[in-house]
Amino acid sequence: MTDETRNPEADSQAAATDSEKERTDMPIDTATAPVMTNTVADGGKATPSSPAPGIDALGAMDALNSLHELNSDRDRMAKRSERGMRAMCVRASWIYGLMAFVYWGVGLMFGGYFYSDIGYITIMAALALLMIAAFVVIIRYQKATGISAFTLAPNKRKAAHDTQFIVASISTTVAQIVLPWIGFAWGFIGGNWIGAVVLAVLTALAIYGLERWHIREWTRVSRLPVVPEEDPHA
Amino acid sequence: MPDKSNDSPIEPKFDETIHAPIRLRICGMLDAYGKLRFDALRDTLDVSDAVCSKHLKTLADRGYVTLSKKAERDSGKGYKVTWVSFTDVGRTAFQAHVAALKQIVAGG
Repeated sequence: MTDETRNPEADSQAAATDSEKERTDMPIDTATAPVMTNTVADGGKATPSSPAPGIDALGAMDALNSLHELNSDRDRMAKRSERGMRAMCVRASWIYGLMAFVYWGVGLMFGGYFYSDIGYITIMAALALLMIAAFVVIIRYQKATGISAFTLAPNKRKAAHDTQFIVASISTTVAQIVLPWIGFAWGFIGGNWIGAVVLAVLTALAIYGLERWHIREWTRVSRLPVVPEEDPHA
Repeated sequence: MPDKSNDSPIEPKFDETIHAPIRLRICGMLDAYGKLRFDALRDTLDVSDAVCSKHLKTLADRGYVTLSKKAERDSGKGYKVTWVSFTDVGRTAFQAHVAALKQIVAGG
C-alpha cells in the first residue's frame, strides 16, 4: 500500500508481528473450551472433563486486556482529534467574525444606505473568499488528523443518546449560521462601522466559546470506553 | 449475554478475523470514527506501513472494511492517500466480537 509517509522500520516490525499474529490469532473460545478428555475414570469412554480453571482465567484476562487496549486507542485518537479541532476552532472564529463584518456591508446595501457596483463586487468577493477559507479550514483539519471531516460524531450510537453532546453540536452549528446575520441586521438599520466591528468581535468570541464547549463534548464522547476501566469482578 | 449499552441487543459472536490484536484495534478505532486515513491508523497503532497494510487487507478481504485511494494535493509526487471505511458487516461483526469478549471477561 502506498502512502505519503512511509515508516522505515517496516520490515523488522512486519516480522515481529507475524510471530505475534500466530500467537494471538488463537481464539479465546478454543482456549477456554474443555481441553482434556477423561478416558480412564469412565471405563474408557471418552467424555469431556471440566475446563482447566487456569486456562479460563487466562482467556478472560486476554479478553480484558484486548478491551482495555481499545480504550487506550480511543484515548489516543481523541487527543489527536482534539488537537486538530482546537487549531480549527481559532481559525473558524476569525472567519465567522469577518463574515459578520462583511454581512454588515450587505445589510447596508439591502437597507438602501449604500450601493455601488464596485462595492457590491468587493463584498461578494469577500464573502466567497470567506466561504472558501471555511472550507480550507475543514480540509486542513482532515489533513492534520486523518479523521474524515464528515464524521459528525464519534461513537455515533452513544453520541446520538448523549444530550449534552447533541446540545453542544446543535448550538454551535446554529450559532455559526445565525450570528453573522446580526451584522446584516445592523447594516440593514443603518448601523455605523464601529458597531459592526464590535459585533464582529462579539460574534467571533461567542463562536469560539461555543466551539470550545463542542470540542470538550466531542473529546468526552470520543473517549467513552468500550468497557469500563474498573475490574468487572470487583 | 446481550450488550445492553446499545439500543438493540447484540448477539455475542467470537470472530477469529477480528480477534488478532492489530485488527481488533483497527476495528475499535473505525467503530468510533467510521472513516480514517491510513497514516492515522498506523501512527495510533504504532506499527509499520507493511503490518498495517497487511491487516487492513485481511479485513478488506472479509468485507469488514473498504479501502479507497485518493490523490491528494501536497502529498508528494504521484502519491495517493488511502482512506479506510468501516462497512456495516464489519461494524456488526466487531460489536458482536466485543460482546463475546465481555462475556468471556464476565465468565459467561
